[in-house]
Amino acid sequence: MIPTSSMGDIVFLLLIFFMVTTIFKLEEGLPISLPRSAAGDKIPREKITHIWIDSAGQISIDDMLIDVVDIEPLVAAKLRENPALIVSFNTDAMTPYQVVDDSMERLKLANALRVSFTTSLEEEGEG
Amino acid sequence: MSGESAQSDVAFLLLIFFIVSTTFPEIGLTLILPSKASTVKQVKRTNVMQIVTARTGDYYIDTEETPTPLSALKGLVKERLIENDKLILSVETHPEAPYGSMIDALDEVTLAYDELEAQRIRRDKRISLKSLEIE
Repeated sequence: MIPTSSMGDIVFLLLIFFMVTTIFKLEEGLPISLPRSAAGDKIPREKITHIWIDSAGQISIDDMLIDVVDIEPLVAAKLRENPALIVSFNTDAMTPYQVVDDSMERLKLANALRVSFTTSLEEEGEG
Repeated sequence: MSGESAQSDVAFLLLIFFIVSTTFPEIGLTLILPSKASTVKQVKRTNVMQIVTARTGDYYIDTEETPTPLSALKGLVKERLIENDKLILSVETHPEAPYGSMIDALDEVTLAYDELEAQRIRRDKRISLKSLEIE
């Protein structure tokens, strides 16, 4: 019979090892409060790149604060890597619409035509 | 029983693995933008329903003078879609209107389409987003 009494310790040790060595890729974005929607679709995360826009109109991609004119080259580069890219707007509900519209014009120039407006889910009939 | 003592460890490991590897899908309203190469098409005015979001966040349908409450929007869109399945919805937004109120309007329009999908009125490229000019 193979002695298995220490297996738990080994498993635990492995667990600790991987917990310590794993680095999560985290995008912090900007502090925003998302609008809510009831009709939202699920979007696969692998295809998403985020554009964060806060209520002051600051724009951030990959945790870099950028100007609206920088959206085009940045997104165009991402689109070359992943042609199925979906650009997801994480925008504060109080942002003036102008900023979002300008950003969408830049996306058109970059030919990134699949967009999504990220929302938090609202149960139907709630709002 | 040596096999059983390790079983909970394996289960625990699997649990941890799935906790770490699971990501929840994002929820969002999706839209395909028109490409810059696409030609401008003229459409009949009677085939267009404008939903105008004013600076204050109020909604106006077509050229009506009185605002329409958000809760009535979905019903009205559905009515118009049933009357005319060539209807193009134009969600127009004042540049200073809050983004959230545009999303609310877009949500209601999308819901109207989704609810009519059973009756085979297709949602394809029939929603256009615009920003109004500042007067």
